[in-house]
Amino acid sequence: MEYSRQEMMAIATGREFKDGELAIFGVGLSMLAGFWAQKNHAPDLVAFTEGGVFGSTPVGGLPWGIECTRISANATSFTSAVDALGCLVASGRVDNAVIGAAQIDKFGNVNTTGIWDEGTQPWKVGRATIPKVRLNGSGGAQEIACGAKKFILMVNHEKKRFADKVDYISSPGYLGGGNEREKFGFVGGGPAAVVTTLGILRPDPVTKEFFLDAYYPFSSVEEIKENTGWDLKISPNVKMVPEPTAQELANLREIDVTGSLRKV
Amino acid sequence: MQKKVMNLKDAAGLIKDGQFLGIGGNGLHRNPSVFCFELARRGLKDLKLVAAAQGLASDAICAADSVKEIYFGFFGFENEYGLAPGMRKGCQEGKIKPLEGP
Repeated sequence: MEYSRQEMMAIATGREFKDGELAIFGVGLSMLAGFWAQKNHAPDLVAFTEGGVFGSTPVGGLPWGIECTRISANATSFTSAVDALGCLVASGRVDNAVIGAAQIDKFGNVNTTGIWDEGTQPWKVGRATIPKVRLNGSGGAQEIACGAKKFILMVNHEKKRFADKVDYISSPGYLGGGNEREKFGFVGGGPAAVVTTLGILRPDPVTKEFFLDAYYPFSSVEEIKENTGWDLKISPNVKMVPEPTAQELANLREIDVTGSLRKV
Repeated sequence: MQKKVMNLKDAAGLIKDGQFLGIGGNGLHRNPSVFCFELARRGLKDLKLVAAAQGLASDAICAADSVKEIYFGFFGFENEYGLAPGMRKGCQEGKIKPLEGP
């Protein structure tokens, strides 16, 4: 059975979701992973978006955004960002979430704000520095990262995206590692996994540094190490993720009608 | 009773240089696009824009060099079309001051 790397990533992400969970999905391909889980093995997963579209399933392929008609057509209710992020997420009711990232570091911190030249800081006191590349900002991912009980990061595995230290923390992971999250009083528990186009990274229980837990049938430990910007530690029990079954792929393609995961 | 209905050009004419505008919609959706395209044509200066998730409408005004400051949580074209070119150009050239918040 032929499948793309992004399809494998979406399925590996979806496998992290359990039936009956309350989940929020961010903008981007990550949405497809979550809705695949709902279709495949978690029919009672309740999902909503940061725009407040609650209890819907996408119709006609990857939604253009969080308030697209493809996602809001069959919603049970259409509330607001304040209800979704302010009430449900910030109160710690959300079990699981999935967000994307432009750049991440070894503690799962996410940068979606901008890329600065090496050696320049994003800001000095009272003054911002102009970025080399300005990105689109965190949106609701920042609230999700602070408030969800756990969340999954879904990222294309490229060296430039996997930095030792992110240029700017748009959405917090484990910050500087260890128990630093607790110091800031976040409601949520932090990133539970980083699922990429090459494998699955999980945090060390003590240091919170992400290590390699699993690779895919088409990738290898060496390839993953080569494409990571920090000295990636490998789990002694590193394993291969099982290939997607024909049924899993069929379910995914029923949701990804427009083939967004097969473009690359 | 005061009559509030007017055509688009007259309505856009109510906006003056340096004003602080709230732009409705979310990303690509529910944007006051035509109104903002008209604003972009007028060559206004030093506008400030605010929205939770700015998109097409705001980007058109940014691309026309009419904006000084933007306040947002997200500024882009979401899943299908990615980053917002007008805003990026303005920010990377230092013409626009972005204030990103939750």
